Amino acid sequence: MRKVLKRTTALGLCAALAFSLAGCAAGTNNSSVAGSAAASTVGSAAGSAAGTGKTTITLGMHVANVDAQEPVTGQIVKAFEKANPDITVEVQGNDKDEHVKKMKLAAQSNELPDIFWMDSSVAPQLNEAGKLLDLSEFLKQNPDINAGLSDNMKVASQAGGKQYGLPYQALVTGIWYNKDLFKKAGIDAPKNGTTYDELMSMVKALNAKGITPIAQGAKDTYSVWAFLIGLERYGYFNKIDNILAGKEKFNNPDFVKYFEKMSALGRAKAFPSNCATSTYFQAKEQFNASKAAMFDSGVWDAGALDKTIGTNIGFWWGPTFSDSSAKQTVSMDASSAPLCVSKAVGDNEAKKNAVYKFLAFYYGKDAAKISYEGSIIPATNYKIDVNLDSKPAFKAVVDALQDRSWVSPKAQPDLVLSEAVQAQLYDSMYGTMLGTYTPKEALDKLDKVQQQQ
Amino acid sequence: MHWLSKKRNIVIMLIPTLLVYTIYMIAPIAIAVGYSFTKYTGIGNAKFTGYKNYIRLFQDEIFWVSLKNTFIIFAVAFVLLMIGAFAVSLLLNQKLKYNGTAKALIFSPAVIAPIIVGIIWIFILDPKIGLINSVIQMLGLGQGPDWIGGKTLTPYSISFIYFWQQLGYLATIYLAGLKMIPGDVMEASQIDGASSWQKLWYVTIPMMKSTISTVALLVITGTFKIFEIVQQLTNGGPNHMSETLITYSYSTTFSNGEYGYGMALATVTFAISLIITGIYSLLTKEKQA
Amino acid sequence: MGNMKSKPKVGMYFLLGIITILVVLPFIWMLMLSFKTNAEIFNNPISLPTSFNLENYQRVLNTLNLGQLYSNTIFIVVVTMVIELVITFSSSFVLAKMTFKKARHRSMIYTYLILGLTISPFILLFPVYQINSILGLKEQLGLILPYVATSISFNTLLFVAHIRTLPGEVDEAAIIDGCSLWQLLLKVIVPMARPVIATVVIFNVLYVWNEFPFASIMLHDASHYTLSLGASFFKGKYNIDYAGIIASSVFIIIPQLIFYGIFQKNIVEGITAGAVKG
Repeated sequence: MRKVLKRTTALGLCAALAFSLAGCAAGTNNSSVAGSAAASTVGSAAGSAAGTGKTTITLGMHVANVDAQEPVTGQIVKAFEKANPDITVEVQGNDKDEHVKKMKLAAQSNELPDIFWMDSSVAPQLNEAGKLLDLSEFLKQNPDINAGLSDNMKVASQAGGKQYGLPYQALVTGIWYNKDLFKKAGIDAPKNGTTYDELMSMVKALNAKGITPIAQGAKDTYSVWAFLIGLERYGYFNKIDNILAGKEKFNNPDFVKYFEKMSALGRAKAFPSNCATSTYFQAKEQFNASKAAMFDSGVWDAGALDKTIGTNIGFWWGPTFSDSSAKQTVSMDASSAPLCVSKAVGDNEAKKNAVYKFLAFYYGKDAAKISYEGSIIPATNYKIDVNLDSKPAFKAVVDALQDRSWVSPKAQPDLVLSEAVQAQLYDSMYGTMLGTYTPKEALDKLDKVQQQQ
Repeated sequence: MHWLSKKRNIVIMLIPTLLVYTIYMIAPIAIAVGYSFTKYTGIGNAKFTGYKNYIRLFQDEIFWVSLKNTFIIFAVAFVLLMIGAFAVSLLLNQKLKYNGTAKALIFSPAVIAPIIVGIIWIFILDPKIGLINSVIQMLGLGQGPDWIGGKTLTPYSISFIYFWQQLGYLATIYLAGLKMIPGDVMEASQIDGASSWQKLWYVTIPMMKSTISTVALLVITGTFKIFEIVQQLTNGGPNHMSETLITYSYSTTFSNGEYGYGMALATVTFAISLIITGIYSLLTKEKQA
Repeated sequence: MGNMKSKPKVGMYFLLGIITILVVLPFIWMLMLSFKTNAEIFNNPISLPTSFNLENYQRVLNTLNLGQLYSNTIFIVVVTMVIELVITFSSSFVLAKMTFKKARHRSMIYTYLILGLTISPFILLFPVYQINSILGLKEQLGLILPYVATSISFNTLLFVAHIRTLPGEVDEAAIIDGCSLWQLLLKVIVPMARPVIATVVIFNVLYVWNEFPFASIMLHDASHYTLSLGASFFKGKYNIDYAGIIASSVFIIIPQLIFYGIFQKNIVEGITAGAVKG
């Protein structure tokens, strides 16, 4: 036995040596394509493979498996490569939290990918630290694209005169509903213009039939999209600049009124009984299985809903409030998180051209068509003809967007806040909905965190 | 041993460990503590803010909630594990058939990544879709309690899950210790006519002192580090009610981008864990021969 | 003698059986879940799967390059284990058995090395990344040394505790026979310390096998990914494929159970209560 142990140890040491030498080589190699997901090294400085005339650009995504989880983007990349055989796009991704962590680290060691998705509250920080390329030049060189992007879309990623990013997609959020379940409960389905009081009676009627009114999952704290729209119906963007400057507070009469409404909804059991331990994904499954009448989410779920709910699907912008003096016809069609370009790209002419070409394609008409066909609303607003017959859910969203009397604010309320305040906003909203905080407590917490910024 | 203990040998054998440890454990800790005195988002430069983070910490309601939860988890898990794992190791030490299989099976929870442990137990403890409450409902005994996601039970549930996960792991350490008790000592006590209970109390346990304090140290430091289980089950919620020191520190650092404050929380956690370990060591000091 | 033993034995079998079943129950649950679809998991939690479809496993096989994930993981595990066993066993031997000029030095060094137990790894993430950047270590190399470092406290704790209990007479006898230090270590101490070495190996292999945070920030090249990163392929931004995560976890867990089973049997079992210095 001892001999065996000795030999094993010796073997092990030799193996280790051999491995580490091999590992050394592997570690410093830039990329080795092997099997599944395309491999890449983040921020490969040596982007252009010498002598082949091919340029490689890196795209850092916020999902690990792009083809399964962001299929539209995957298709756009492939279509771009097909149209530009001299450019290769190396896609690399991690799930969102890991991705943001990695990008923060990569920024420190100047190893950012050429193009990457970034969280809306982190992108401005990267910009302030001088890590992002100003895309104003790109927009100037591409006037069609400049025109194809609405002001809302551009303003969202502007600071200090710099265009530090461009929207990844359009962020269109609201409340999905299941027409069939409303019929079962013997009440009318909601529509744009339904008031809060009408919503409350719907909640009562649905509960009476054992149908969960609104599917929500508090474990994913950010999943309060429809309720974020509600903030604007109480004048969010009229106030927020002052609040962020310290001249006004989150705890103001309008917001108190709004939070009281959310609290009332919670008490009326509008949300699932296990909302506190549910994830957003679970809430979606509930809605998919026709156990919940409404579902707080956005256009990104249209593809799945087409298959599970089909023609019974409906979409609306959420309830209006009679005790608010602000405009009630608020929709949500603003910039999602941005795509940013690393500053280093500007120093490499070949890379910059390749990146500009990619962006021009991404924000062009072909990519827009791919998006619509994939039930995603692109950031651009070209008129594209797509057959929506087989996509009732997506069609419901598109129809809602086409009613121009409903106007979107320039951004989703949470995306103009710093990371910590944003996190507190989610906590305060869910806390109010679950009854953990009173409306005033919830808003005071927000003020406290804002003061610490 | 004396003439082999040349200074040169000692140094050669200690240096590699000390080097790697200092560079990759102690230096990072120092850096982390350093950050706790700054305001830093993870990008750009850290701004020195002195004791501000610590002052904020002691006034932070969520900190106290997470401290309370961490202590509950620690206390419950400590009792369950110290006794439970020892009992199981005694059981496994008997010459029973299927011993090996049982050993492997009981050890198996330790094999799963903590994040998966969290996911599995969601499907057991969730008040609505979990196994336990589904069975309770089936038996017509009502809705069943809020094992997780409620106001009070979460830390106890976490302790239990940690106990489940660590039971086999710690029993294995106890077992290795049991197997290293010289056979003649056990035989001698048998010949002297000692009952099983006497054997246990007067022979086995004293000879296991070293192992017992090893396990205790592991449990103490381990409970303070519980992270993925809480993250998966409740993510510290709802609204921070089930937050532990580590989950709060983590979310502050990575979700809120408040790296400096997060490190202050981590430093305090590390200090508390150290103090408790120190107290335990002092209490058992006389036993070190 | 016979009668006295049979009653308690039955009781013990029973107890062992119950404990084993309770411990294993969540596993069985997980296995059942791995055969369900995502919709079934959330909407019909306790029902048996409608069909024992291998759909989830199929999906995992299609999405992940398991062969590569396994080999990457094994490589890192082996290298890490060899390095850490050699250095921590040596340093623990020094602390447990060798004489120091000042005993105080010994306990200071020991305490210093144990401190690491109180540290939660995520605190070290950013600093370790920065240190790796300075030292120019990337990918796997940037992973191995931090893994070794995080094992030091645990290994020292266990090794020192157990080496101390090894009877001194054996060492003295070997030295009188003219043993050199290295011979002493390899031929005498290591064999006697087999149970604890096996324990340390098992625990550390598991730790590295399952480790996620460091792996996710140090490994950029997807062809270097380890198994634990595989599960993240099923977490999208707006949809989490729980069934996929569970199925992929089964692939990650099975080798570990086999490893534990084999290792356990051959090394710890190999020593019965009489054979250890008795």
